[in-house]
Amino acid sequence: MRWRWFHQWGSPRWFYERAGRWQLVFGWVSLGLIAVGTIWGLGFAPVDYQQGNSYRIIYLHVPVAFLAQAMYAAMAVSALVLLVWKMKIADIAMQSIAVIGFTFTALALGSGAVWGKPTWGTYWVWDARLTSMLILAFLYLALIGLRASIRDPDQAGKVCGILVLVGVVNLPIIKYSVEWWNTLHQPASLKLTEKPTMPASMWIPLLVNILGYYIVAAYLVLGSMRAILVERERRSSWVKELVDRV
Amino acid sequence: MFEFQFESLTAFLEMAPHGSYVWPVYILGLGVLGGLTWVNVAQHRRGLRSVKRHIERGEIHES
Repeated sequence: MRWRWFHQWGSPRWFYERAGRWQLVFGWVSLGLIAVGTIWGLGFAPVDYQQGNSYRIIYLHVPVAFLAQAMYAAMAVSALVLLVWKMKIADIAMQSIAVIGFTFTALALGSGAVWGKPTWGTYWVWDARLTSMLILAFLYLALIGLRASIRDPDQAGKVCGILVLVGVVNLPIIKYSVEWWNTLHQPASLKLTEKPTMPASMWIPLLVNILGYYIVAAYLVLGSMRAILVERERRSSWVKELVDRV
Repeated sequence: MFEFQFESLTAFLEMAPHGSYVWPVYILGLGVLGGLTWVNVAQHRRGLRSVKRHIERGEIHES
């Protein structure tokens, strides 16, 4: 009874229906939060005394950089569930997260590069934080490529799961890179354990956007998982019923 | 806390002197989010259409 909820998540039909409802809620909530956080950050947060207005890139860069790492961690949890419990839905989660995680990582690298130009005078340096984030992007790409190269989805899931778990080692390297090495990249803007170094008028909109981007990521992953589920379960009676209804 | 930080809309858009850095990042970000949403919806619709085609051709039977 205690594990019933866990096994329910393993049922494709149950997941498809529940995810559809959650997706709708997540979509609208994230849209509202991102709109509020972005308008607040771009127009109403005060100018930074050192960086001027260029610091406003933080309201996009930090949420997507957080997500790039959090999505890899979520993919690692999915890989563990797949390898231990052989739950198909975990494999589909891994497949969805890889593409969306790569996109957020690329966006973090791109927005960071643009922010770097007015702040450091260059788009790119082989700095520990930037390099470890670039490795994260390559890890995501390797996973997408590996899956595409194996025809059998079960085999692809296992191999990708192992690679995901090996790549987890990069996450603490990214997090502590600004402490372990001398880097141009500034330390974390927000920490759970410490008072923010920025005034509240700067970090509150950042927090709103971080929450909004996390929810939009959940919205995107659920949407992608539902699409993949229809393809993989196309021979199931519930998908046939679904098609009849549409 | 809710005071608009710019004197005019032009000053807001110029974000002097960093508008050329800030705005492209946000346009790209919104484009990426919109693109991912569109890809999801398109993939979902394509999947459903594909199943429908297979059913019509009799390649998928009720299981």
